[in-house]
Amino acid sequence: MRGVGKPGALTVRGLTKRFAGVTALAEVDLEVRAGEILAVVGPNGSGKTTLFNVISGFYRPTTGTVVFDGVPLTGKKPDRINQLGLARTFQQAMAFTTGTVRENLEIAQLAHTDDPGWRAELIALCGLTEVAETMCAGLPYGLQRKLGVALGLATRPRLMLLDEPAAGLSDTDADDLAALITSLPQQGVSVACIDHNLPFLLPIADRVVVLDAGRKIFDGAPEEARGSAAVVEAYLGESDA
Amino acid sequence: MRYGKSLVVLAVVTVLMLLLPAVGPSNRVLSLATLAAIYAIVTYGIALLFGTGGLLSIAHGGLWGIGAYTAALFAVRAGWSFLPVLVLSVVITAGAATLVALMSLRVRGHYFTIITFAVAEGIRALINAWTPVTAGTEGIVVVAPVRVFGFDIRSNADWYYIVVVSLAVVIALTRLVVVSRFGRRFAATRDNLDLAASVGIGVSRLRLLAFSLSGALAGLGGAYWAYSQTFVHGDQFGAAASIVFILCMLLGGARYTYGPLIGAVIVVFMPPLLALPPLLATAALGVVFILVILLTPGGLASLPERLGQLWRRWRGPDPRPPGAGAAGDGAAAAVPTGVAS
Repeated sequence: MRGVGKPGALTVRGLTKRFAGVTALAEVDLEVRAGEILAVVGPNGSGKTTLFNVISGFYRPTTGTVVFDGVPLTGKKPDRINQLGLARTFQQAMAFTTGTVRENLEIAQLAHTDDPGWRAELIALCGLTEVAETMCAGLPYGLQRKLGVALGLATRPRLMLLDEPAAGLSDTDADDLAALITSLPQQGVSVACIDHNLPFLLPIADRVVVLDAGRKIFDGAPEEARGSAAVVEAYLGESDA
Repeated sequence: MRYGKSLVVLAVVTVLMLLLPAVGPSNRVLSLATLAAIYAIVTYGIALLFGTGGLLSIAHGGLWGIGAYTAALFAVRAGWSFLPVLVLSVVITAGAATLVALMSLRVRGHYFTIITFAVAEGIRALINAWTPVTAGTEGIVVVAPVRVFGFDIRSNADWYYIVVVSLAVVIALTRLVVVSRFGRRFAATRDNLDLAASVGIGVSRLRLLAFSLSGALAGLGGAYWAYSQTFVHGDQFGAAASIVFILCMLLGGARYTYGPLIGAVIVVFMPPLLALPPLLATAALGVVFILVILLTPGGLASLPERLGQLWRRWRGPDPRPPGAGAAGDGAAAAVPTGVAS
């Protein structure tokens, strides 16, 4: 077992991503500091998921750099980036459908040190105990989302990017998830988390970054975000949070 | 002793296959059996890609032509001896497969398959057009003395023994690959490519390596084809040949240890056994194929598992047996075809 490592820090500078003329991200600078929980919010289409896709290597940035604990990630493939200690979840619930929950966690460790102890811990930590031997294909949606988080954590990351982990969860499940995320920095994992559910996300966040139309329009404490005119305008008609 | 039982089964199957020449089959049966074993070798390669990695390659009908022509050219024109030619065919075909993979694995799903189709036909066209080297459409007669570990290889039975022993090695090897950490990672890429990459699995390198390995098997099968058929010709290779291998794979079952073998035996032996005109024999094979896909989509090798499922469903609390039972009966009739051969 690797034990609890030091949480990682991420620096994004001047990140721009264009798709066939559409600018999804424009000159975004941001940081995830070691041991913090960063909330990334913004209306639909504001570039949040694109940001995560670029950081985790699924998209190449048009310009700009991403540095993780002093190591440039720009141009590296997703598997390499995960090997460096950065894990992510996906907006859609994803699992290796031909296996059980426990087998899924084994697969997630195939490219890492096999660690049955950590898997067992994760199953309990992520509330998957009762379905550990259930095939993933038939798993209820909420549990699939928790599994997604568990799969990322199985790789022992120092930074975790969570893309709408609470979407579709019941209030109880969302509370459990919030508790799990809150505990991650003590386990050596920094967090950046996207979610539309602000009552879920803001209370657990140390800092908030707001994106709108691919630009960063706010970067500061959660309390200030609620009061920022730019943020309220970006969200107008979208949410009453 | 984790693989003890599987090894015993493989040993028994191999010994049974090796006993065939002893029961005094006709030369025709023996050469068909050799052919089935050669098809099986190539099919194990594409089954590794498809069954484990979810990649459907149509390139292999062309790739095995590269193996066959490498063998023909170096055995006949350069006068190399058998084992070096065999190794060279495997290495060159694996190299070609690596190039094909570098091109085709950049795209996903059916685009990958379409590119491999173009590769197969491209190789056929190249063989037919590159007259100074390949003799174009005239083909090459492969007559070369073959000695293996001091034995002269002359008769049909000699070739049969060599090919069957190679096949046994191929079966063991592909099985080991499938259950290895490499194979499990490769299976994860089939299940979900993005998720696999996100948990650190090096999907590109993995798929490249798997494709090269399966190309090596195509090269081995191609070399045996050249030697045992004693004649190579461009139109023996290409997409049409790929379809034959894919048929073997799907009939037998891509994910089962003996699936490709069962499939190859049926594809090679069924048409002559039916003694129909060629076109009708092909049509009959098509009908069998459709029946297998409808009744047991995992291939004939999946029958025991499938019958077990149907049996449990029939006995279990779920009171819906009639349809399922009928399907089971129809499928059961097909068992001896696969198992007896």
